[in-house]
Amino acid sequence: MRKFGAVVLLLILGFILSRIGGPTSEGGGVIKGPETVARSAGESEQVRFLGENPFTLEYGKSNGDIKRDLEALRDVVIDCQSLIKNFDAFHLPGNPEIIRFLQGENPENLAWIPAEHSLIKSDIGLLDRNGNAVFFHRLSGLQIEYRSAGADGKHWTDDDVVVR
Amino acid sequence: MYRFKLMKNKQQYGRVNRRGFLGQASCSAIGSTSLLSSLINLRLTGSLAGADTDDGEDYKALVCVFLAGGNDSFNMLTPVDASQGYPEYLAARGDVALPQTDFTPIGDTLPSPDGRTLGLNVEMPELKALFDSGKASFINNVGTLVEPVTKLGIQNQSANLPLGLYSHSDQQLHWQSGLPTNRSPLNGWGARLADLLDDLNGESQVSMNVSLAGTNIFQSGGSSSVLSRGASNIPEIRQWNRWVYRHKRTAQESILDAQYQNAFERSFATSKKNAIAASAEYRAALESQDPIITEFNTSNTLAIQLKAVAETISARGPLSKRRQTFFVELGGWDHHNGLDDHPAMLGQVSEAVGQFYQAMVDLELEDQVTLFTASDFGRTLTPNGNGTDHAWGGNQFVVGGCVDGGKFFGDYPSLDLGNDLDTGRGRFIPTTSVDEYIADLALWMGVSATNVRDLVLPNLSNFHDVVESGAPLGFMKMDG
Repeated sequence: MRKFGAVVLLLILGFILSRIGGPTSEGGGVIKGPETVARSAGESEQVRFLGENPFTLEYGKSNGDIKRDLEALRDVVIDCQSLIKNFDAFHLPGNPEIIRFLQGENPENLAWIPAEHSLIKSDIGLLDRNGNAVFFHRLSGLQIEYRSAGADGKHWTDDDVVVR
Repeated sequence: MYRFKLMKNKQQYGRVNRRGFLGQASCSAIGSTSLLSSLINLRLTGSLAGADTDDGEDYKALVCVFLAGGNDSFNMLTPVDASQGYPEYLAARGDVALPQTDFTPIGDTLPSPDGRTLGLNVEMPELKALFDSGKASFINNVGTLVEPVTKLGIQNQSANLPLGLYSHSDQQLHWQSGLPTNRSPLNGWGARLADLLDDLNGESQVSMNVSLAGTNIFQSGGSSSVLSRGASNIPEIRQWNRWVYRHKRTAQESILDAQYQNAFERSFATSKKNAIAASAEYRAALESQDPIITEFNTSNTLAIQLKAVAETISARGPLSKRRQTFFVELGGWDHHNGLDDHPAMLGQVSEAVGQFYQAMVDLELEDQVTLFTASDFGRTLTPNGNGTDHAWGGNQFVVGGCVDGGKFFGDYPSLDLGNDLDTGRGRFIPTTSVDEYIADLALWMGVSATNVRDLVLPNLSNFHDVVESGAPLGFMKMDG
């Protein structure tokens, strides 16, 4: 009887704890609820937003700068490449395509970048904090050079901010 | 199975000890029918392949001119009709469009129903002269492909694409290896070609593969090594022949002549000795020839390289060569920041190629040497401001007495943005694969169709049945 009671107690405890922690992914990590996924990652209920990351935490924030922005961008791309191993097999010529890929337009429907962001324009892609499009210079299949046009707003000039 | 696992997991590779590696390497060389094994064993099958190879008496050489960075070839060759073609060019290219007068019409109009007239950039008069005299042709909209793809397939992510599309290093590798699904190709198609053809050459320490632009994948990885030299100097150990250093040389030679039990030490010593011998033989061969009489512009870096190629070709007799490959390179084509110097660079290429062809004429070898261009990719039709960005299909040209010259091969794309080939910003899906382009050259060099398909260009069958139908494009006169 005591054992039965202990088992029931444990089950109840487990139920309560699971409700506090929220729904878990198959891998055991905690992700936001469905309504937050839809809000953060787009209208598709299939896209799974992977949670806060350097981009969401730092890109374009007032206490940052362009260099840190590009480093944050680089970090999420590297993270994406670690989860989607054949990143270099996709048609990703430049900014809007790579950003859409990071927003969930990939075979795994994983999103690192939210669908809506003040520095993302659907037809252009990601902007730097000066409002100029970030340039993704494909050096190799996996290595990208991230370029901001800098203060003069023109790419490939001396004031460009470049991160690899 | 175990070898496949070994090559697939790079982390495992690092933890294998030397004995394990040697054992696995030897296993991989026996019995496997994979492409990797076929490539490693090309030399072993050389005698068999050689039986299929053209055994003509003539000398033949291929010269690869690699335009590193991605040539903006739609400002090299463009439609110039006021009524069709040029308006689309103007509309698409915006600030990087050149005036119509910057192009000179060449050749016949493109076949019906196209009907456009193409013009060559006016900075390329030497190339125009070669084209007009039937010694040069253009191959349009060539690019790396794994298989034919459609715009729809790309949009729905079902298309099988070359790895690292739009990236410099990967696309350079694919152009030079012919292996677009391989992240780290072990060898280039030039090396595979050399493995099949080197039996036609006589005994010599000097490789049939000569590079004027350093290490390249095109010529690397085969049984034949690559002789890499500077455009202005011949590789040698400094002071090797100076009397005052004779004792050091004697000491070096005794070290290299020593008998080593260790396989790696033995191999290193052998390769070092061979390199020294090759350098000496190469120098002696060049010095035995009369200087090239053709004038090359010594301030043109490409011309200097091609002059060295011409000098090496002139020494083919002492070097016992009937087949050779050469690699030269001109960088600086990654014109993101503006195209102001692009016409001048085209002019540089044209001048160098013109001088090289003249040198071949002077050597009476113009029918036996074919020069071809290659580049990472074409560039976006639309500008990014002042410059253009990485794209896909682009235009190339071939020069030589055996070229079916004065023609356009492949399909010159419509420059209307948004057409069925346009993946965005005028990045055109290639209508001719690199494999088809190379196959014509390999066949001309004397490799059988079967070997081209099976050994040199394993991806070619996705586009063309070379055994059934012969050369894919037909820009080489095969009886030359």
